[in-house]
Amino acid sequence: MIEKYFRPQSMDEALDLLADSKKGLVPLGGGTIISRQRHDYQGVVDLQETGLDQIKIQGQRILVGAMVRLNDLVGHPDIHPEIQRAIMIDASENIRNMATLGGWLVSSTGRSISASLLLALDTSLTWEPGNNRVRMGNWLPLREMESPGVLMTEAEWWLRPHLAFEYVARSPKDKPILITAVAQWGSGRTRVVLGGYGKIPIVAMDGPNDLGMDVACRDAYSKAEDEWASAQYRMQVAAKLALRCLDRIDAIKESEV
Amino acid sequence: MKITLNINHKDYPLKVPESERLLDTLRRLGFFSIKSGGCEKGECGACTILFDGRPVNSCTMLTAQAEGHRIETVENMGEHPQHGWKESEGLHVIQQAFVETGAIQCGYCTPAMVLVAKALLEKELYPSEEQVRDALSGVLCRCTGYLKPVQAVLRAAAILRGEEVPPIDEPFEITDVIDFNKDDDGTGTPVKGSSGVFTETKIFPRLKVVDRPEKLKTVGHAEPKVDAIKLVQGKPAFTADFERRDMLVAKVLHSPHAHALIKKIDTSKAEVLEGVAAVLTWKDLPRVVYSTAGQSHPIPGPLDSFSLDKKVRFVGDRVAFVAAETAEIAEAALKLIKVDYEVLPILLDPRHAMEEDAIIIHDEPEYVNFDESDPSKNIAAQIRIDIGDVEKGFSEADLIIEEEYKVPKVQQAHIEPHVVVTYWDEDDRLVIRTSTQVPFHVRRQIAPVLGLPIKRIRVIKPRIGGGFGGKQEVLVEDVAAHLTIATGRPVLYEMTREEEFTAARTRHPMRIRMKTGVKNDGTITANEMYSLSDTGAYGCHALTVTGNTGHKSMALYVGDGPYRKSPNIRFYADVVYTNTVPSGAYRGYGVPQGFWPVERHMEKVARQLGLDPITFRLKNAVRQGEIHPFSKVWSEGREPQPETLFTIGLEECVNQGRMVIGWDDKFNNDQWHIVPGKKYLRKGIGVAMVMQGTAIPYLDMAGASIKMNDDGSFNLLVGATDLGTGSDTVLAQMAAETLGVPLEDMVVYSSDTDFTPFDKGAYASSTTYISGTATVKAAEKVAERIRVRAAVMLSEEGIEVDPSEIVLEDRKAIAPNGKFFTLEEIALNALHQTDQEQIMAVASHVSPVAPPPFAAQFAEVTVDTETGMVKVDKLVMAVDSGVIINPVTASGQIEGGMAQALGYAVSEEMVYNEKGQPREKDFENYHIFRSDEMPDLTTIFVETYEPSHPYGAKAVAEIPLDGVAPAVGNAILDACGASLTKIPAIPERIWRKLRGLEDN
Repeated sequence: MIEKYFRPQSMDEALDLLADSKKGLVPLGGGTIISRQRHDYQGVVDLQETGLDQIKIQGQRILVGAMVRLNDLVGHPDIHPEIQRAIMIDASENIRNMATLGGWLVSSTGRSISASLLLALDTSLTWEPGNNRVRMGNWLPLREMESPGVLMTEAEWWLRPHLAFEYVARSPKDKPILITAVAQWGSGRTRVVLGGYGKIPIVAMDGPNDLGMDVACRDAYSKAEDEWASAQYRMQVAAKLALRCLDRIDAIKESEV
Repeated sequence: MKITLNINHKDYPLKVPESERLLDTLRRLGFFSIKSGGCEKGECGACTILFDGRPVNSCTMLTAQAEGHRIETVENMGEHPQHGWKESEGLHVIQQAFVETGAIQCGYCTPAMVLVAKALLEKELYPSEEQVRDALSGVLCRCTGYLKPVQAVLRAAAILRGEEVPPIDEPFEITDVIDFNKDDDGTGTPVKGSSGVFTETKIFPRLKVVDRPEKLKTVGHAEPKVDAIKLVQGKPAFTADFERRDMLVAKVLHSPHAHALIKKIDTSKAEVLEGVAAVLTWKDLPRVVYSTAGQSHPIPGPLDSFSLDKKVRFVGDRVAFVAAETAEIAEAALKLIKVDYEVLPILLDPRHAMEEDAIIIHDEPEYVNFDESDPSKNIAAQIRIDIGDVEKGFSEADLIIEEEYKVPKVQQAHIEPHVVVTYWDEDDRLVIRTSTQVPFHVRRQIAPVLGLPIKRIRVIKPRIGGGFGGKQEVLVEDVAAHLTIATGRPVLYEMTREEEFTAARTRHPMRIRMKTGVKNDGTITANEMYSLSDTGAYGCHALTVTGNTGHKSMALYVGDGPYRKSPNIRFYADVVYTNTVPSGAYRGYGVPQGFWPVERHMEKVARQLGLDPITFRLKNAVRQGEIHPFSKVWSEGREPQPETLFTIGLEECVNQGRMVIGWDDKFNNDQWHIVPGKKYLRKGIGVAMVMQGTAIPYLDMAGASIKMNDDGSFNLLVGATDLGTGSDTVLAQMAAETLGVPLEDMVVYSSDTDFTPFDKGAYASSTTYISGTATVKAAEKVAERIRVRAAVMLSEEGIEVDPSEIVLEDRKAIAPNGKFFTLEEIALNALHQTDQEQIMAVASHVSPVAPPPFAAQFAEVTVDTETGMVKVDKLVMAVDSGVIINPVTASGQIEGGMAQALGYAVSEEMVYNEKGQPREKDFENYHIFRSDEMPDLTTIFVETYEPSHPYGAKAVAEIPLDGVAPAVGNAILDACGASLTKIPAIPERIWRKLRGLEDN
């Protein structure tokens, strides 16, 4: 039962409240998750006035505050169109207006396209206290066991990599049963992420080039079986989709030339 | 905590609990336009508010979060155009557009959509269709298919820009061949989105008039719905909007086991929890066996249910009821009830239900059989129908083709959950205000369960937020009523979305075997269907739903030549119990289950014979003037009577539909099937032909009462239940036409067991036909009284006229010489002046026939052959529903029905694990289509004139559910060669089919 509600005016104030584990407080972003588990917490710390809703560009990286709403990402000129497309599939207009990036990532499952894309971009997350930067790929598998801090404040990813995703679902806006996201840097570095299965998306490949990505996809999802699809299906189709992503990236690169 | 909310530009200082949701606070403050879909995850969006100008869900937000922000609701947007002496600004432009375009059906999600539109148009006055669909994506609608709401927003945008918009009530009659690909075809301003969807701003659907005797003033016109103005304002019109002092909230404890005996149940801790008023278990209630199926007397099915029992038969079955001061306390009390279960073996696969050593689900001694039901074999119903000599027909065939098909369990998914309020009135009569399709059946069926005589119960049906058959069930009324009896206090019981999925009703899943004998020229010599139907844990609607599966779908193809004169048709079915959530009534009522196998099978037969699928179907389809083949052998109601089919517009439906979708340019055109640059994509086109029924002959009865008022207006009282379909409106249109008044002069009230005449309720596509005929009969009686009085009044002025020569028109009774009295003058004369009387009449109607509507359904798809993902691009439905009383509400029925059927085709199914636990408990896993992913929808009406209805109408509500799945299945086959036998057409199913792998 939520018995306490705090609305701190700064991040420091929020951290003071959250750092005291005896208080049993949890951070509250947009509310799309917390409010439905109203009985599991003693109280919430509403972060809406902590200033964590900024989007900044630093060199070739973009820094997005954890309180930035998904719809603000959709309308932002520096957010990659593939991320915007992913958010539009993942969430309806109403949810996009409420959900914050931080809350979205904390609650994301393997079936989130936008989380898969951010993982493909090798996104880093900043946690406080301690300004602790953690790669999303390291955080996701452990997020239910240990947290790098009490509050995620920022997500940061590369602006320049080429990015593409493909997915399979029962209908265009249904939760996907398979996602393939590919990010490719100018250096040739290629990260392939698979989603649509399990609690989190996973990195199938992170290599200096794109060789072997179809094999990597098959290996990564060789046991990805659940009530929604068989592993046989997922591993075969994931490989196909990865190659499609690569074709799309190649086409973009060609058009840039 | 103390906070101040700014709602509609006004500050509200409040004290609220920290945990309270904004939805609950706002409704407590009286903002009833904000609805609850019971979801709590924000999937449905019925609770939308504007938060600093942006649409958000109030169910997933704490009230405290809202302090310092601007909240807007529909209550702030507009008002009724007539408020007496006080000048009214009327409705907002957006609200007016929703009213005019028919964007409102049940109206439950309408305030949310209006707010979303407001937010969009304040930001973007020139929205593309894609932007409109994206804006609406957060609000799920199960009624409209989103087409008319999109049209409403585009229309409002045009008006706000100061542009002229096309008139609504301008008939769009097809007089000749129309080239729909022409740029300017008079369809209004098209707005094309990149998704390929192409919505016309012209609202009136295409009409091909085959046979209509006269042009009428109200019937056939796009009149706005009579309840639209209140719904668009979000007025407290629904069950949960009703408040009583000291009202308790009910919650139900559900079984975690699929099959178990309750050995011990301890409620002591729950009972002493502060705020708990009552806890009821099976020990507290009289043991009365009944059926929850809301049907006429006697119930055509077994009696196998108890309000609470000591045995549970599915995960979600009832264990205990709690009433408490708040929902939170009631939920806490549920957790304090300790139940000791003896878990029993379970039966999930219907194929094992009738085996010798099968687990017996119903072993209670009180079980009451109906017909062939046999609980010792888990049989809830059995059907054996033979028409002609089926074996002889097969022996005469050149080719016999067999296949097994499967259809899934799916949910009605109305956005307003099941909800009821009960209380004792001042005469100690129990009032049940409930969201039901069958108020009179509720009263009759629940009386013995509660130990009350029928006369001590009053059932009131307010507006209903969608039903689709799910509310043709006495499902929640007993919960609240028992708790009111126990506590003496009013009780509200509203199901959560999870309860809707785990404890309400579903469409019967079936395995269906088809066997068809044909001559090489395509003549069907015999056709056979066997259905194994799964009724779940209880036998509600078991016989009648499954009966319809064969009765409608197997009646369409009778054969040709001598076989046409004497068709050979067999329909056998076993309806069995399993330990899953019960099946029941769902729009289409068994017929969609029948047409998936029939129309997939006809496609298979045609292709195997190398025949054109349309020609093959029409060659064998039943024709005008022939006898409905099943009418001689089976009836859902009484003894079967041969029934001639006088109106069949099927061939014209095919002609119109194939023209609109461009069949002749696409089918067998290899180039069209290719998507340039994407080798893995293949386009396909498919067709299905379908028929439904119009009410149940000799059984469905409706009454109507009409009373004349001082000003010449009329009160129309009907027991018919408008569940969002617009039936109140079409009934009033027919009455208005008969009485010669505009629709606005009809004041409609439906339905209340104390005040309105009996009506069997809203099901079997019967309201326009049965209730409509009763209404017209009552109107004719009233009209007759008006004519007689007018003749007397004319006589007093020296003009002698036979009453039959007087015409009622334009609010006047007009003599042949042009002399007239207004209806107001006649009403004043009757009520206050001469030979005073109340001009009023009651009439009722039962039909000896059930003239079927017919339709041709076309679908266009794109299949990804590497993934199996299918995208439905276009659905075109040409429908013969007789004369269309209101083209806009009727086309809304078709569009909404096609959207529901689209889910049945590709995305909706309920899956259970080995313990009988459901996978689908919310709208995240159970996917119904959003506005931003809908295909292009087109409706065409082929108007025939059905002679058994006073205005020539047949049914419209259920037929759109029948053809989409098979048309999509046939289009998938056409696209890529994957011949599906099961739905939904999920990606892996198609992928496996293409690779010759077994369906897992």
